[in-house]
Amino acid sequence: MKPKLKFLLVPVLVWLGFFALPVAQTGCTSGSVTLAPGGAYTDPVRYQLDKVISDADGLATALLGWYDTNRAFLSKWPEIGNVAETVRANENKWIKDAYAAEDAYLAAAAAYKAGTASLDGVTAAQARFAGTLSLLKNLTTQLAAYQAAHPHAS
Amino acid sequence: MPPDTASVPPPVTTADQALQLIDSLSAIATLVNPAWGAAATVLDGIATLIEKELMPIVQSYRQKEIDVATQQLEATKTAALRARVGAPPAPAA
Repeated sequence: MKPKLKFLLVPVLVWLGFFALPVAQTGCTSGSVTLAPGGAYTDPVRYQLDKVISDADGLATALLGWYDTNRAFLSKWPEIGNVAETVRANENKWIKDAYAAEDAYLAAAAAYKAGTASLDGVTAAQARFAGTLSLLKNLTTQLAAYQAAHPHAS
Repeated sequence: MPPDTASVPPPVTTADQALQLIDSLSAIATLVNPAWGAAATVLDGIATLIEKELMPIVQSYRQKEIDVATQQLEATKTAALRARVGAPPAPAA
C-alpha cells in the first residue's frame, strides 16, 4: 500500500511546485527569457507571471478533472476529496488574488525603477505575491500531517 | 542617483524552476507502476496528465525566446482568466 498515499500527495505537490516555486523564491535572476519584438508583451516578467498563473489554473482544472473521473476509487481517501473540493471552492479566489498581487508587484517595481519608491515596497509586494500561495501551502501541510498520523498508510 | 534596478527582487525564474519541475515529474513517473493493482483508470489519468498537461508546460519553461504567437496566446488566456475570476484587466505597461 506504500505508493498510494504518495500518489495522493503528488498531484498537490506538483501543482504547488508549478504555482509556488516560480514565485516564492527570491534572489534568483529572471533574465533567461526574452520576448520577440512585436508581440503582446513588452515586459518578460509580466509574461512569466501571467504564464505561471494561467499554467496553475490549467493544471488545477486538469487535476480536478482527474479527481472527478476517479472519484469513486479515490473515495477510499477522504482527505484527497477534501483537498480537491477546497481547491474547487477557492481556485477562482486564489487566481484573482494572484493577479492582484502581480499587478501590485509590477507597479512597485516600476515605481522603484523610476526612482519614486523604495525597494522596501518591491519586497513587500513580492511577499504579498508569495502570500497568495499560502492556502496551497497549508493544504500540503495538512496532507503531510495526515501522512504522519497514519504511518501505516505511508 | 538612479536606483540599482538590477537589485529589484525578481518574482520568477525559469531554468532552475524548470529543473525542479522535471524532478517532480520524475517522482510522478516512478508512481505510474503497472503493478499497482486495479486502479487502471487512475493510472491512465495520471499518465494522461503527465503527457498532455505537465510535459508541455515544463517544455514551455525551457523556451528562451518567446515568439509573437506564444505571447499572443498567453495574453489571450490571461485576459480570459482575469475575466473569469473577476480580476480587472491588466494595467497598461
